Amino acid sequence: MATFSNGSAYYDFRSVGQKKEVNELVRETFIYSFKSPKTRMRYMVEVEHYDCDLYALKFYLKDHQNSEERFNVLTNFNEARPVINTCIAILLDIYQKFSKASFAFIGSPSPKEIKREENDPRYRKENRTQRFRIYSTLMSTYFSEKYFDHHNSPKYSLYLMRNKQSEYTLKRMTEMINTIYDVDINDL
Amino acid sequence: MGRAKTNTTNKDHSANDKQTDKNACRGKIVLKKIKTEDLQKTRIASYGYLL
Repeated sequence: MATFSNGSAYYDFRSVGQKKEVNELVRETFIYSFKSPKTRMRYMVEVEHYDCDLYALKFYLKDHQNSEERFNVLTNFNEARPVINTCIAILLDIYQKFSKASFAFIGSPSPKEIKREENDPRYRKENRTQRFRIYSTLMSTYFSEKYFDHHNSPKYSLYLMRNKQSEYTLKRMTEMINTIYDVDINDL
Repeated sequence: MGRAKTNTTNKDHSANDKQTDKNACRGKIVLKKIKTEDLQKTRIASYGYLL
């Protein structure tokens, strides 16, 4: 275990690899791993590097790595805080290596939120998910406006921290994000 | 990571989300800057910043 300067604890992590030119959008993916000393479970973190110095961080339980729902499943291990803190420590590791990095993430809907939409179509599963609300709180708690501008789209549970040193405009980054997430008007 | 798939509308949006909704109907994610006062409201004040 390690602690941030503000006293919050996170798990020790290590870089376990890097995939180059994953597809036409992802330039490379940095792969990290950490093991919870509490549950002995291993987590995987993938940081995808896109154009515009944009990095998107995803994490999941290693046991779920082959599941299509690995970003949705809740582990119920009651260790969300140190796990998310570890992801933030990894985000800081990327920032130390790439000082112009901007960060984006989506708070994926839980199975309950997906089911809620199935039962009542008035709910959108992507809309202001529980994960989005938690991540938003932590981003505003840990990252001041000194180095990043904070942006979001609650409708898509999407959060962007745009690096103030970035040479790319918000408009350019938004275009990039729209390309990444490929929101199809026919699906809306 | 999420992907929009439904043709439903959540009627519980705040006024601030209405423009986002309008643009979303054209198939676009619109990112809005979070105001300083709103960041202050959501953050846990007892923790210090990391950056």
